[in-house]
Amino acid sequence: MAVSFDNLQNTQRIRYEAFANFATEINNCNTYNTIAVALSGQVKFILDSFIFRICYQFDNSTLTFEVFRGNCTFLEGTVDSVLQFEKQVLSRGIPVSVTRAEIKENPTLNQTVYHHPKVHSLSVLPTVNSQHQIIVTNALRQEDLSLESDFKFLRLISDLIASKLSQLFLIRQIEQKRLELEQKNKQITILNQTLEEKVSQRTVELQEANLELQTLFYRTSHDFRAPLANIVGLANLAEMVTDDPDVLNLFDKCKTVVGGLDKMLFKLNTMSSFEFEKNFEKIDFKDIVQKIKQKFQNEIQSNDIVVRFSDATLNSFSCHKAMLLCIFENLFENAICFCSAQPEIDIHIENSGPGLLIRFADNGTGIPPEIKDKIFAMYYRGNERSTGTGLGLYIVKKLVKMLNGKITVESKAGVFTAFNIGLPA
Amino acid sequence: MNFGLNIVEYDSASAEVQSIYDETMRELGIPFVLNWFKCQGNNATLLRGNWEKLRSTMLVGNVPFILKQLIIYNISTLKGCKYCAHTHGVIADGMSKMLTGNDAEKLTDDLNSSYIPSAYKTAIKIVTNLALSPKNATIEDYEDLRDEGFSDLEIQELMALADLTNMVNTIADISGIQIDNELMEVK
Repeated sequence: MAVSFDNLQNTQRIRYEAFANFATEINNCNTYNTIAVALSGQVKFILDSFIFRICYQFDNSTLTFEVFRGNCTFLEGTVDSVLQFEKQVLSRGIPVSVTRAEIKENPTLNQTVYHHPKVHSLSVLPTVNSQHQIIVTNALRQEDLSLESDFKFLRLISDLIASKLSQLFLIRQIEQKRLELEQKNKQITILNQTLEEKVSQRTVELQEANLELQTLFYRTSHDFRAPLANIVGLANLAEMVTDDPDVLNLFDKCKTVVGGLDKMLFKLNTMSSFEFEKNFEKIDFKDIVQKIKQKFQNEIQSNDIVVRFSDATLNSFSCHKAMLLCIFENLFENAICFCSAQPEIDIHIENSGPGLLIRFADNGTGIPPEIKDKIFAMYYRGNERSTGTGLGLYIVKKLVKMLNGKITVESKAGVFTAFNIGLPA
Repeated sequence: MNFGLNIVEYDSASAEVQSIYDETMRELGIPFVLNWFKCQGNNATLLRGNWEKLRSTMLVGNVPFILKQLIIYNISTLKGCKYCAHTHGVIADGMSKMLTGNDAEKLTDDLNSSYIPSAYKTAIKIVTNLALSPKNATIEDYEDLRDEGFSDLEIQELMALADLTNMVNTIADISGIQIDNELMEVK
């Protein structure tokens, strides 16, 4: 029966129906296998076809689907998988129709699947864009082609498959990246665990070493004081048995040096002893200030120091009394060391939330800005003329830290210095 | 004219038979029970068996429904089963407008027309021949279907249509059922 234009028009509708079913099936595909099933099931109802082949290229990867006698095979490969004939058509980018005679004569075709005795013609449609290339080849068992309608459906099938394969490639790339990330995360987790174990181990080692050091510190400072006391005792005895002013002067200087060393060892001993004792009790700050004033009575009197104390707390406060006493002693000693004419010391205490704020201020020589960051360092003295041990503020800061508090300093050279200590409840 | 097989209307049917009637309407998508089922309404077991065979062959599978209807129509016409030819022709033609775009052109008018893809034509031709003359089946029949792209699973479905159509034609002819009134208006 001759093919009329009307028949061609109507033929397309029945084929569009089949294409609609094919599109629905392809939309639901998520693997190459299901795409192959859709092709083998539906292409024969869209086109007259004996062999149907799609070759899709994306980056350096190639996917080829070949439908033949009810089966569809697919192959993943590289650009080498593309037939020579297909490469030629792709490079030109123009659709091609090939007759049986031309298949026989073409060396790029007569060694391929298209050289089947039942194949009488080929319709080939290439599509090239920036992201991918796709070539569709339909082999027919008849020579009589309805070129326009067949190419239209080839185009539709080509576009649909290209879209789906692009999507699957992208999904695969995302999945690969996800797996890589997962692997890296696992590695990081393992590293973290290893790191945590190492840190724990090192912390234990450090704690043990610290404890050893503290113990050594305590014992050493404690044990050195006995011989020093003996030296002072012997110096006193020696002063009783001679009148020589030069000898007496030497023994006096000896006692001063030993006294200074003893003082340092006493401070070190006191500080390290706190490591082993943790006794909290309700604090009477007035009592503490009174004890300090009694201890430094001579210095207060000789320098005419005015000491003012104010307690604005509303709630009682519990703390380690000996530590607080040590803090106040060292701050007081520091203030005396750097006092000016008409010295004044102001001690103010108030509540700060559930905790406490202690402000210890003096109107002494103040701290030059360039050394403000160093004053809490061990053995650091403010200036060369200072007769202190260089340990006073170091001990204050260490004790404040042991009480989980914080200490800050405000100062203006030649005007004032104020230490603000915050202690938690 | 019925030859001793009574038509069992829905209201007169047993609960079991009514249940099967309901299934046929639901799955065929029609609001009435075909005479072909009603003539078997006295025997729920046979009705169930034949319905399951019809359903499994005609309504389920990978071969398009329209192709199955065209095959059944073609065989029934050639065998002279008026009931089946009419019924399945109505169903096939009912899809014609969507498929051909022309009310006047019915698919069943010319099964060799260009409306129909080559795969369809080959399937209709071969299955019809085998339904009419099963002993004439050859390897070439299978090869021709495979050349058109039918898989072994689809070929089995197609061959089952040859068997099914013979069954439906036989029951329709020996029971002497008339074409359903509802379908008379359509054709």
